[in-house]
Amino acid sequence: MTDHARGTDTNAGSRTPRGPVGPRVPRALREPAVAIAYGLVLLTVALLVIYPTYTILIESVRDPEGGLTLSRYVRFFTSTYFLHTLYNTLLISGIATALSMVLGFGFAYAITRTDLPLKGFFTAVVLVPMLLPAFLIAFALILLLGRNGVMNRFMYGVGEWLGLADPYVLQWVIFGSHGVILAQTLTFFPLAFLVFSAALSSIDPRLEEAAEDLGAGYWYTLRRVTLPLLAPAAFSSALLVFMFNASAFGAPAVLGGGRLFFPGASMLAPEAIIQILGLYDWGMGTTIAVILVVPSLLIYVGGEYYLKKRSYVTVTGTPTAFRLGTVPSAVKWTLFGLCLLVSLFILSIVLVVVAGAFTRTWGVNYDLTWRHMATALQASRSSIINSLVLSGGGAIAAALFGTLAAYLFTRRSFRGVRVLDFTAMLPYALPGVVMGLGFAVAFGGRFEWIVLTGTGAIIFLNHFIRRMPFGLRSGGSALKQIDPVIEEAAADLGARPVYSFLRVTFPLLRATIMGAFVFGFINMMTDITAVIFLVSPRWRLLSIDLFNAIDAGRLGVAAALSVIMIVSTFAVLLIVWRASGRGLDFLRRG
Amino acid sequence: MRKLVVSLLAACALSSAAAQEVIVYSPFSDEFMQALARPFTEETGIRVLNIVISTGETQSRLRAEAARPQADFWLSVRPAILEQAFGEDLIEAYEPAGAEAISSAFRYEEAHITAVGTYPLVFFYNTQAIARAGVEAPTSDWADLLDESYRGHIVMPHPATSGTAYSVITTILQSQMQSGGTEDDGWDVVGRLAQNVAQFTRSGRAPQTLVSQGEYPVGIGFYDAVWQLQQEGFPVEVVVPDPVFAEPYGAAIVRGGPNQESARAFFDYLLTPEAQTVLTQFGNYPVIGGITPPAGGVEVPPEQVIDVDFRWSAENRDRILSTFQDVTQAEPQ
Repeated sequence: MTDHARGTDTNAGSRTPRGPVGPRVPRALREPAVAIAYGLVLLTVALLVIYPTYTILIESVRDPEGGLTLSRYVRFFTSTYFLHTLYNTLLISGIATALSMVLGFGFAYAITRTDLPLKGFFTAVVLVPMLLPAFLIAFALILLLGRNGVMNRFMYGVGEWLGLADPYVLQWVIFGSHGVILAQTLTFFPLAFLVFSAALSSIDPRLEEAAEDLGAGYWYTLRRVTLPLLAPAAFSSALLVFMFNASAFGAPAVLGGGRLFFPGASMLAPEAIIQILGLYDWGMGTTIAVILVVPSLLIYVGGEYYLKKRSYVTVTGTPTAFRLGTVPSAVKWTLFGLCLLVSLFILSIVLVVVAGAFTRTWGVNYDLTWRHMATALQASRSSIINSLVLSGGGAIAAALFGTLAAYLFTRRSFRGVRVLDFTAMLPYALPGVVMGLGFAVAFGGRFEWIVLTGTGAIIFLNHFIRRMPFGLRSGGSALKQIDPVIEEAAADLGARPVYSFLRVTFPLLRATIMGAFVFGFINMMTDITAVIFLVSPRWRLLSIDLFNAIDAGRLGVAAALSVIMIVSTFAVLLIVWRASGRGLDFLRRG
Repeated sequence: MRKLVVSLLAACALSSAAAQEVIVYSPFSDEFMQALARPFTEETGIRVLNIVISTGETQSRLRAEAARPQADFWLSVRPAILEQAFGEDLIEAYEPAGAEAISSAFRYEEAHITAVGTYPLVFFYNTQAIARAGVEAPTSDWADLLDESYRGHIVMPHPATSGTAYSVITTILQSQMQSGGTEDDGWDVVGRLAQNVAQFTRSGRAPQTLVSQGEYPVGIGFYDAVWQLQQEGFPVEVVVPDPVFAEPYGAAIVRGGPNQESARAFFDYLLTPEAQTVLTQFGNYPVIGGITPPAGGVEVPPEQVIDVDFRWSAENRDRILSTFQDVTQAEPQ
């Protein structure tokens, strides 16, 4: 990667204007280091965001003779089958989003506004699904609620015990729309939770207290004061959750079968993958990918626009401690029940995967065995190493590069930077299928000048560009809270921009970079939708091995691989956390 | 940028030249591939790298990579697909050492088709699930599966994405044609069968899993996967249909692959008694004499085996797939 960076560096230098600086050159770019850095960002964005997205668009309208055609779009919107795929996507995403909002709000409200017991436990458990890939949650649901799942076995037993004519009537089998909705809700509600709890804690408690002092009851205050104040947060998290839901692949692939609301049809993201990997129809696959991009982009742009226009900042600098305990106890204990139920369910998901890894044949023979673990470790050893190396490297690169870009965009800004910022953020909004497919087409030999298929580099670059936006966004908001005066002081003392960035700004952003790394790393380890197009015999990945094992129904091996994935991810995070903790201590002492 | 690409390519070329290896595309599971590779690697020092992908996906990849092949070897391919791939210049003809040991029933005249292993295409059912669904266990008669009582109770793969399913369809069409009917009679059977099928899976192995877990009572698919699930203890029973498709699968060397030499060595190895014995440990039947079939495996009466015209299957593949789409309106799931 250093080669790559160096290579683009020199190229970038030749792109930016040199020599006598004319009046048109923004002042920020007159500093050579800044100009080079901008060149690097521009080149990265052009090569890894614009180029793959463009190739997908072109691929979807290219006819075999070399001309342009909209026939695939016409086919999509006139075919019952494809329209059903779209309807399934919208319906399931809509319901899962609504449920995620309710759950996210319930948890956030219970944790920020009540004095319930077990709050620490709930907070920890609610974040667990963020560490698990969506398809792993879906897979765990099979172990729990498939026909041979423990819960359904139990319900069958209950049915028999009750002497029912059909003991199967008590079973609730997970395959179908309800399963996909449940899996996706569990996967995405923590996101809604995070947004809601941040919003709830930033509301000035005096607003609600004032309402109650003026005689408003609990429900009236909730309805007329608290909820309206939460509207922007609710809106933005709903958009985000819907976007993720709509581009989800794992749950529909594992639990969908042909049994969604519109039976026989799947959802958009899995359909795009089937078209490409199953039917070799690149035209149709890319067309579906483009169709999938449209709502995501609209939502992303809409969300950004809405949030810019409307901001209910109620942070005033005064302490925001709430009078906990004003919530009616009926509400409180209902929330407690909800939180407890969901938390136990999440825990049972983790437990069932661990149990499955050491059980001989799930649903048939519950003898303990190491066999699956041995098989998984042996068969996937290189995949595990590849995943750790590519995710680790990718996450470091993404966090650092994102932060650098954030620094440029906030501190060395000029007109037009907003466009660059928007484009650099795009991979966050673009579905994994689109980014993976885009890379496969763009770097797959269709254009002779750059071929990366079969290499680790293509996976690394894909990881990098998809998670770089984390560093960009969090770096940006962190920088807004750091007074530029500190950097100006460094400049006044004679520090050059590079020195000032490396020695002053960068250390201040340490925690942010760490956060971007952690988030990026987890997402890279668990990704399948993008990398499914990019793996090769030499560069296999743990997540794809796991998906294949689930797909082939090798439940024991799949569970073992899941455990390996969870444990290795945690191990890396623990090492990083320990290392950085020591690093911070060192700083403090220094 | 060009420099960067060139250096990246050079780095890849160097690293592959350093260690001897063979890169394999195959639907075989990792465990199977590793068990198969172990004696080979011990003997030759050549490492076997594999990726688990279906027949259809492999075809897609080989076509996409034709200008710059990424793989050396393709394992477990039907003769019809080999015929097609050879026609597209994707694979090379190679007669492995030891080919003379192949039993006469599995020999092909074509130099680019060499049998490696075999297993029959069977009906299988979950004993608990058929009781629950209230349907009869299937008999060996294909016509029985067309009965209305099976509606929504059968699972099979989709022929566009699975070589297994393509074999199901061609078996039905050819058995009709061989018993005095027309191809249209065959499509009539396919259409009626499709009405009973609840799900056309993307992967050829998914039906076995779904049936073993009781999601569907009855499935159609290859025996090896059923055999493996039976070893695990799942309540699955097998019926050998009449006629039964028991064509061998073959293998091929990818044209222009990076490790031609290793690929040839691997092909030679696959026909040794050692490799053939590993096949039987995963529910496959050997193609050379003197090897014990899989323990507890079903009997496949030779007179029941349909003599498939694989060339017809290969030549008509696109037409058959599009007719299938028209007749069934079903998509892979």
